[in-house]
Amino acid sequence: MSTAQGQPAATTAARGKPAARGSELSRAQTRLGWTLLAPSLILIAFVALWPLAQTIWNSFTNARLGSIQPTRFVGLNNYAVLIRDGFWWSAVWVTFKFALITVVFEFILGTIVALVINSNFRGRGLMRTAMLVPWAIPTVVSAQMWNWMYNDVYGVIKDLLVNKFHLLRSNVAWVALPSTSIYAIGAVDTWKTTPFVALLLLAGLQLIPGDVYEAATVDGATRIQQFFRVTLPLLMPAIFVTLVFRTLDAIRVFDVFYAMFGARPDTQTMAIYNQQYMVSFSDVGYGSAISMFIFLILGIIVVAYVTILRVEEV
Amino acid sequence: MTARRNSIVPRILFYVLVVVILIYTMFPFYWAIKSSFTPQPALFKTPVEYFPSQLTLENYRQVLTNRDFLQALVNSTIVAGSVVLLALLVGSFASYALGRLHFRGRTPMLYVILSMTMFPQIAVLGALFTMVNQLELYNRLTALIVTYLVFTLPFTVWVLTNFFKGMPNELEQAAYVDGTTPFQTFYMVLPVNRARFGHHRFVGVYRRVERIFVRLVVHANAGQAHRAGSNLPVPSAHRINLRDSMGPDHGSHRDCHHPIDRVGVDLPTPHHGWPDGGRGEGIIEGRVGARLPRPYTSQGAKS
Repeated sequence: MSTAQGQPAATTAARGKPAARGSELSRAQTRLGWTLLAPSLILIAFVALWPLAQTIWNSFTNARLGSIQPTRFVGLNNYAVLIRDGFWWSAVWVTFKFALITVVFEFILGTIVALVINSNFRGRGLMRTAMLVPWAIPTVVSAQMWNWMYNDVYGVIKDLLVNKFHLLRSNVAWVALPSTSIYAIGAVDTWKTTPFVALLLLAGLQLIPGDVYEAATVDGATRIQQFFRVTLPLLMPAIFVTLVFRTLDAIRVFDVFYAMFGARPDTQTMAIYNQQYMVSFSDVGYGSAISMFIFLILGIIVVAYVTILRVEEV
Repeated sequence: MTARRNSIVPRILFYVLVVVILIYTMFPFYWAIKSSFTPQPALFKTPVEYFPSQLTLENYRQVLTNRDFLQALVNSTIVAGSVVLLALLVGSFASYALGRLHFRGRTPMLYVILSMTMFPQIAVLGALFTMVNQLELYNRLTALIVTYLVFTLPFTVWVLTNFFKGMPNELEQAAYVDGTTPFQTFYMVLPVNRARFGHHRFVGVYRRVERIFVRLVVHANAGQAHRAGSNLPVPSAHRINLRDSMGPDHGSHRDCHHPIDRVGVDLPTPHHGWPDGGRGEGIIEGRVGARLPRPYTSQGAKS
């Protein structure tokens, strides 16, 4: 009995020694850890957290760049004005419409592309490389490219639709018309970002073990049943991550719109509206309020996704 | 998998789909290249030409003799170069601390930096703009460098932390036994990661993003296993062999059938930047496949 009890005690004592030596090392490690982290933390605090705090503060003031009047605290005034600002709500509407169009189409196309690449066929490597091309091209470049393709007289899209396939009778100025411009730009973004979605979903697909499909086949499930009963549920984490990233990116969209339309009033997104007030009109107070509002919307979307899809985030 | 089984018809349909996808992704790109070689007047001609009837390098000559463009090129190079160097320098410090050292507050810090990658840039835009103005940096490259640095730093830290985590413990343990200080150790293990750093520097942004998101998905799925796995004392030789098991010899690794044996194998080896030996092509299979137990990967399924 005594030996049996003595045994663990001896081991603990034996273990105690390296732990004591280790604590010296661990103290050194702690010191080093914080020293090494310090530059990053200082940078982040200085250029990200501090401006964030300032934005919050500015949104409650009437700060203007280059103004002679002293900055005053105006409470929730900026927000009150913002809520009644018709141009703002039209920007919100444009942004959400754009987000809905692009996320839906990117998902459908991205899933198809991911499924194709996930299957074995000749030229798969080529396909994977080719698929990434749209994503590798800078947004500004691809926006200009598409602008040229959309041209209502010399553009290739007009030529294809009117002269080659006879789908349309006459030319359509896709980019200029308010009714079509949102779809035109949606198509550009879909083209550009489908590879990204496909890549994320592909990573998820490749995590699905093959024997699950074997089991499903043995049980007599058809291909379509397999897709909806096996692939889709197992793909949920990947879908979740993709959805969150894509939606947030679409809501924050700035570059495609700016490169294709400039700051055209009928196609302003929230981010462009924000930039207009901040930079062009130098109205920092109101601009900050817009920033905070966008921030809020993004937060709500993330929370909504987390609660609706109930997938644990990373 | 899809194309192998049935008769010839689905197979043809499948390849039609492949061709359609290829045309969809490549055509605008082709159009841009075609337009760049077409002389100005020929661009404004109807009907549209799908294959250029005359080629010219005039457009390229114009662009390359345009001073503004050349200046822009120089600016971009300066900004990109400094951001990458600074991000690697500062980021490698932080990620070594987060990936290799054990200290209080490590996990919260990791999450702080992780959450920064989702940071809405719009929220700091205004204040940053005022700050840049106040510091009289408006329209200067310095302002751009600092801003980009902060927006890429969390990304860099995150990627590099994972690399450091995947490094075999033995290297450091040997160093500690030899009596080095932790900082000396950091300095010594750095060369092991050189291949990674090099890639980090030179591959396009999309590769970086790609890797990140592969990881993100992996973590969302097997986060717990990965975290547990990264602390497991798996002999380094064994780990390195797992990398090589992507190659012809994979029979000898059947003994590791638990997922945890397989995780954390994406350690940097000096000679192979990518799992497939540098081409970066099979990145997704290589990386994700390496995390799965052998029977689950494509080669193993047959055996």
